[in-house]
Amino acid sequence: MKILLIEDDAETGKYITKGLGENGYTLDYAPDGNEGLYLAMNNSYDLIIIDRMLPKIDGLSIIKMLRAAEKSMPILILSALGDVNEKVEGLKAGADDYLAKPYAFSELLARVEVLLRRNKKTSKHILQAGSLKMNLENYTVTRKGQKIELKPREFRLLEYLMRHKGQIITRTMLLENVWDYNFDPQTNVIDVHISRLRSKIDKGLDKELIKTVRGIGYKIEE
Amino acid sequence: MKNKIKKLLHTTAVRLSLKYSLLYILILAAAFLTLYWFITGFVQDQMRVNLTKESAKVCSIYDKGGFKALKSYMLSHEQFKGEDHKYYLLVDKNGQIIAGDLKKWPSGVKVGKPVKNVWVAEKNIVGKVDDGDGFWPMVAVQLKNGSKILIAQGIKGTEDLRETLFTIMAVIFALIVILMLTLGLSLGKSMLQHTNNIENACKSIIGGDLSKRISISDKNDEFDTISKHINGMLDELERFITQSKETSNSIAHDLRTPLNRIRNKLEMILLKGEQNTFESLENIINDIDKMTKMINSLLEISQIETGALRKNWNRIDISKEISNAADFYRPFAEEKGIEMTLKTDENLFVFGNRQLLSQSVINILDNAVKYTQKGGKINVSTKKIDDFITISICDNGQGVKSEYYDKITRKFFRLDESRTLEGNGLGLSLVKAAADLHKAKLTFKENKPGLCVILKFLYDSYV
Repeated sequence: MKILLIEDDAETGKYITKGLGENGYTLDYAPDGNEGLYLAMNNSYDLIIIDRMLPKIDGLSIIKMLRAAEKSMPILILSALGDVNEKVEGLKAGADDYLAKPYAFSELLARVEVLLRRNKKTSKHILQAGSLKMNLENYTVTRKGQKIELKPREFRLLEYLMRHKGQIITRTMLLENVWDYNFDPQTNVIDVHISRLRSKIDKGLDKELIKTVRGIGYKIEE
Repeated sequence: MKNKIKKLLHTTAVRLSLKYSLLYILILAAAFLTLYWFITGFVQDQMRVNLTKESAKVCSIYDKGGFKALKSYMLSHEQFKGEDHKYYLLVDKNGQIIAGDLKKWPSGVKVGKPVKNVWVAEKNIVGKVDDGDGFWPMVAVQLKNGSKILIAQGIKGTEDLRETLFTIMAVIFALIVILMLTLGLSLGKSMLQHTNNIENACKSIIGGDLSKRISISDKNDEFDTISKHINGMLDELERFITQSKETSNSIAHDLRTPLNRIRNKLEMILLKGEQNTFESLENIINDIDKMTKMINSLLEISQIETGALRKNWNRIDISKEISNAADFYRPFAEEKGIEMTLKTDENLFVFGNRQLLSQSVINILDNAVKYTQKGGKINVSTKKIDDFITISICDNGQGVKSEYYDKITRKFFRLDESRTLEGNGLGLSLVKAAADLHKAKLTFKENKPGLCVILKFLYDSYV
């Protein structure tokens, strides 16, 4: 898996390269927009991580140019500009995800993994993890053949976790993708939703399907 | 003192009054000169008529009584010489003086000519008289025996008249200047009092005393009006400055506590080696996250306040957002043993930023859950009344005293002084900022017991 990082702050660049490298990714690093655009145009990457504000060519312009050149790799924007509008503009320009600084490295890593596996997204109607089956056509969930009643939002929550089976999903990712909330609620309400979902799908069973990844988020094992 | 006078003299009032008095003087001088010109013209005319009459009289005296009668008339006249300021000179046909008041026949005076003004010096007059040097009007007639008689009019009268006129003029001018100056000075003084008043207040404020205000008199004049406005402005500024001072104090305070904790924990790790390191580090990350959250909230609020989030607004079904938010928070409330009910009209649209509106509602819900005890109830309702959409979130928790209604939207204001409950005191500040941005009204009402938070939006009727 090859990732291109375009980031003008060398310290951050080093830190991300090291962090992602330890997780098994190969990184190319570009310190400005020109070099970044050149590398992105002439190599094939599985993911581009790009800073919003860059010397020479800014992040949004690079994304637009890459998309115009029909480069379809996933793009993640890293930005100090954290407000809702900035995010909307980033996504409009063609980015796939947006992460505001300061962020936790675990958050970045979780998002990188989700983006990298995005291309392999199944178009199947049935999602499965262990003994849990989700039918996306008739909205039914069963575990060991036992039907489980879920509320629409619980269904979406489970669906998101199932789609990213084996990947760590952060609370922010759940907020963004399940509830479409781009802000941080004062209290951690997600945990309550997860525990409710758990109580429904794990009812009477020993094996906990949704795992808590301490300090980061949740994960459904493959 | 010297400075004070200098300042007084420089006031607009004094300058203006001086300018006006100069203008009045010019106008009055023109008027006086015209008047003087008319009066002297009139007097001269009278003199001419008088002299012509006198010459006719002299001729008739000579005609009736001859030379002798004329002489006695002249002598009799000489007895009360100066009364009517007429002077005579009788010369024979050779020009030899026979009798009269002048020492010589003035040159340029011819017989039979009209009255003419001729220069007469005092020394050319016989005896001591009141009339002095000057151009005297005079006329000469020839008698039948060939001798000539000159009748001149002394000009003391006109001189006196002129003097009186000029004195009056001078007195009036002086009066004008004095009057205008007094007026200007008193006006300037009162203006200076006003401006000094303002100036002193300004100086105090520049010196750092923000509570200083301009004192207002009961005259209700234009200065009072301005002063009231300035005071109002200062109140607003003081409030603003105090608030931002409080905010920065709170930031400092709220950062210092977790920073201190982080430092202590790191120190412990250093001292104790590996023991419990993992947990301590996790705590440290939590503390840092809290601080980041607070800074993010602050930044977000200031972005809302500056109106930077006005882009990407849409027509939003607020009833849907409310019910989503309630669904989002209900499990959390239920976990605490609180019941949450939702009653909302459908298809209620407002124009705005969906994320901000959702976040505002969620912040209100978060407070409601936080401050309601087990077994409590939270009612969320959305109604359209006329052109307004009213969202009310009412709990039956401990409530907020009405005197705090103004304060709870302030940044870092927290009802629990000990700060034991989760939260950073920015939740309602964001709600307030978002409400202001959307021109919505945020109000609080007592729920007996508990608190109602009410957001009133203008309905977006655009279809």
